[in-house]
Amino acid sequence: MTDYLRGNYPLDAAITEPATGDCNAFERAALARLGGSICFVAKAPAVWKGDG
Amino acid sequence: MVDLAAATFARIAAASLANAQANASQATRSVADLPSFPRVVVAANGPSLDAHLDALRAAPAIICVDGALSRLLLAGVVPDLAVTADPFSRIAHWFGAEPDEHFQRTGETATRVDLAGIPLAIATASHPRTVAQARAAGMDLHWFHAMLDDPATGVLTRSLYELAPLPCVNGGGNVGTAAWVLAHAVLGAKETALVGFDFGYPPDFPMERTQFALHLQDLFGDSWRKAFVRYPNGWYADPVFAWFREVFAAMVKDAPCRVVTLEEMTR
Repeated sequence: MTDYLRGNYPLDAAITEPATGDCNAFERAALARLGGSICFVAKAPAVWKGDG
Repeated sequence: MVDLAAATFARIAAASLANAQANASQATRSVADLPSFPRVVVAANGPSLDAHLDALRAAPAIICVDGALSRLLLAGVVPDLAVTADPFSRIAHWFGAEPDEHFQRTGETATRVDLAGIPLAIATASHPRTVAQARAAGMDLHWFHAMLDDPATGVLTRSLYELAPLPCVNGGGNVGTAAWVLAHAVLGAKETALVGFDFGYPPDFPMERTQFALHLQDLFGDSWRKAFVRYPNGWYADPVFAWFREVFAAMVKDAPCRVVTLEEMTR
């Protein structure tokens, strides 16, 4: 995300990335492996047949 | 708590879309062309399925999930339709391929059985290896899309429909729920009975063999067993299965079909 927020112009100031511990990265990776094998779309109909 | 709907999307949407693109050219026969099932038992692959195998012989019709296929056939129960939807290549095991490490750890290994001629409702999200294995087994493939986002506001489900004009099914996170949705929303079931829909494990089932055990161990270390949800009857579920259960209960509440017990349906 910081890449998107950095802009596309040069700056004099040095930008320091916020510290993220290994633990956070590890947890994100582990969380990414949880979840179902088919999506559930809340508030969507049970079936959509191309209408609307 | 993790938003498991969002986590599921992050986990499988890209693979599902890629698989759908790979499968689209052969997805010519739709699940909409299957015969209707006004009254049907939907069989999922939970531990409790074994207790219902004999009673299933009296069912008016049976739709089962991929993982339950060999359990039914070995008991002499031939389903009218099987359903597969997961995007992972290991799912080919349910159709005769060798089990991977995941299935060996969970003990969900299927005995090779004759699947020739059995109709299969298959999601375009299925891995091409699964598709090839089901075809090699001689199954009769009919296709649907597994919904990825709300077609009223998103673009992914619409892009699936543009690949092939097939019904897009809101799958509820897992193939059991997807099979039940197919039964009433596409195949016209007015009355459904459920077997093997446990969304959890019996008290004596080893936690090490549950589907997400390794991931929970990674996440919580020595405390990983605390991540399970305990129910008053002694059964338990990991957070993902507990979410499946919650989603399913909400979908049943709004469904235009009756959900009855197998005893009531076969009385």
